[in-house]
Amino acid sequence: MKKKQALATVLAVSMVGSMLAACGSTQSSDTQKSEAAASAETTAEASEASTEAESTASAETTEASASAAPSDYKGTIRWLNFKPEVADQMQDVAKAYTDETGIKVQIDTAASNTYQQTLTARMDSDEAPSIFVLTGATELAEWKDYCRDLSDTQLNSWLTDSKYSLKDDDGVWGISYGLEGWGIIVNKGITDKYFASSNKSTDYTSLDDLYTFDALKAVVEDMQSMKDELGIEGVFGSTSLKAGDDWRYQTHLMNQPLYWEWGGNDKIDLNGKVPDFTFEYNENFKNILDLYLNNSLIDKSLVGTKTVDDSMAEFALGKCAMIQNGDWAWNTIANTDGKTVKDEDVVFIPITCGVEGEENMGLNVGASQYMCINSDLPEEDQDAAIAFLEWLFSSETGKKLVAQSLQFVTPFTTMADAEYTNPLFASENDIASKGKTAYCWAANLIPDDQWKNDYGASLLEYAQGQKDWDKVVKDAVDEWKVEADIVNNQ
Amino acid sequence: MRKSYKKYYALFVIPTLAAYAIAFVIPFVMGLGLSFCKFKTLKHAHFVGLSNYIYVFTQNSGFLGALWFTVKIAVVGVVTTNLIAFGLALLLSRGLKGTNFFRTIFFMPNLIGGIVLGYIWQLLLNGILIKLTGNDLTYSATYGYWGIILLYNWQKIGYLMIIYIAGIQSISSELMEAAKIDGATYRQTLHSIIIPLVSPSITICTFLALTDCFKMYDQNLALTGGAPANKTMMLALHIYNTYYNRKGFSGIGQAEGVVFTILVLVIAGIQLKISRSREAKEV
Repeated sequence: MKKKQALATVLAVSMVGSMLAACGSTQSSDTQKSEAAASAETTAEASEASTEAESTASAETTEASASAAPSDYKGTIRWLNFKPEVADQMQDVAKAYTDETGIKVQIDTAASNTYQQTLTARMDSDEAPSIFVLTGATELAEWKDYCRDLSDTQLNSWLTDSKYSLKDDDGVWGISYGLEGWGIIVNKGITDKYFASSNKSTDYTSLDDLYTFDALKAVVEDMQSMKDELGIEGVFGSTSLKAGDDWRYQTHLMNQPLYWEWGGNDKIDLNGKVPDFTFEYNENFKNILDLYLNNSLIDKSLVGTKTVDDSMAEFALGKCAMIQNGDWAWNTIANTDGKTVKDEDVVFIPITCGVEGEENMGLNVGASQYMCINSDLPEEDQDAAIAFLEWLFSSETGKKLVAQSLQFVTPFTTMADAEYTNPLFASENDIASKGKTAYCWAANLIPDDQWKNDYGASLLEYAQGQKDWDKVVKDAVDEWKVEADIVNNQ
Repeated sequence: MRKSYKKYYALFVIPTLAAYAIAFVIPFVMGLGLSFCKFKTLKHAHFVGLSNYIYVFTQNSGFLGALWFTVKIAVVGVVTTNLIAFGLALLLSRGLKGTNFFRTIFFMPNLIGGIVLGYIWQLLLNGILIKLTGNDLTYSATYGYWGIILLYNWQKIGYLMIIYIAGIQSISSELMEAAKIDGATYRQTLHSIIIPLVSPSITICTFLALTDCFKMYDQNLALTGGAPANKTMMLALHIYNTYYNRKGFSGIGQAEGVVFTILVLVIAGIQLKISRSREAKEV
């Protein structure tokens, strides 16, 4: 009887233990992890549970390996990373800092398109991030209670231009860690083949001629008719208008009409209120969208099933010659299995849409992600986080990691001598050196996701031939009024 | 023996009770409170009274659209899943060869998560639709509607079937035999014996299917995501989008959530009452 009772107790205990362990492995919170470790009875089980939890939570705390730590800070610096494409590289950064200073750094990465959700949840937890990312002024309004004023930090003094910070009259609340540029990414190998072909029917001879919409359109349509000769399935990759994958069009491509409507770099205040919007340049937007849709490797009725990744893979495999995306796409292209496009062939040309003066314009370049320090944490945690960031953007190790592993083009003077490996950065510099002006990120002033998602859905219906362009424009303008009101008056 | 039960009572009840409180009761009460607040994170919530609810009922057009779509899914979904599940249960409780095998097969889809199912069915349906019509699921709300119904049936039928089988098997064989001796046809047996006697199962199954349809989220998200233009968006997905897509709308999303809970409670309550009263009359 005694034996049986003992057995029952063991069973019960192990049941409870495994229940908690299972908890830890599905939830991405580290409290669960330590709970599981604490309550599971046998050590073997405990260690198993915690390793499992670690791998699924995509969070990794690199333990202090060196015993000689120059700092007496005992806490953990937590960075809630915005960019899933560098999630692994960020872990290297954390490890490098821990190796050098003994301070623990934990990087958590929010899944694509879920940053705000993840941030909201984490801010309420005991392990709130010390460094988090905001994407613009409209988000600052919501999170200002949590932002530390960074005006007196070295980071702020290193900025090459104060427009790369998120600020208002009271202070500097966020500092950009990466300038991103986007335009049309071209596989130069294929376009060179076209320019050299005797069958072509245009007079253009190089990518340098493609700085106006008329030229781009003529070349693209000619290339589309010669696709067999060029060995491609279509000039443009799939226009990914699947819900959640439509940001290249509902946000990024909108930069062009918004920029022109609001009067260009000098007149747009990226830290200001959401301006009025009449979609004055809607015909121009339609021009370029139609060009994408009609000269693609898929029929335009199928764009609702395509994702950004599909599109990047098509480009990497050489099935198409052009896609619209930004320099962040390089990692995806470079890591595609069976990639055929050569590194040196990956270059940018600007997006053009038929507006007068666009031949002098270059890429869209701007800061869209700002690092903020959580002011809700104790002072020492905030200071440690700032020290970490200063190390990252000024020490030799840090700079190398930023430039070659994370591949951020930072707006800091300390990073001026960094060497980059991303070929798209070289192309950006090349275009800037030709004296072309960069478009600022006017699209950062789009009121909210509600507008973006509904507009994206509208574009999909247009592509499928179910919605007139006039109706697309009208809906976009009407909804803008509603959303802008909500954002400006909150 | 009874004494030893009592001794372990706490050991078995407390973990479950604690889990229920932590995962359900406490968040629910907090959620109720937050629906009267404007907030971004829990630490910085400001009380705003009824304004969130007023917004939900006066200005939020999408809420009613999503509600109507959900009702349409629920009506058809409840009827089809229950009819098919009951039919299968009848078929698989007659001692045919391979009964257990088929029961397992029918039950299996229920073990796969809704998100995975949603993506798999999206691929399947898109493949068929593109072949037949040249368009995909996002083309028309009708496609999306029937896609959700199909997916839901495929997932839920096996589960309901098991409940029905249990109900049918609990009917005493004497009754069935007596009916046979009295010369009842199969149709008569079905109508006068089987259906009345499994009516407790019918109550459970319709309840499960109904609440399930109203709460459906992952299948909806993965299969259509609301496309085209939010026309296939069900209530739960709408609430999520309200909460996150606009700045400062967490409170309104929360209020929608509370309204939604009350709605499901009321509908499920009415359904239970109706089917319970039928049970009492017929047995």
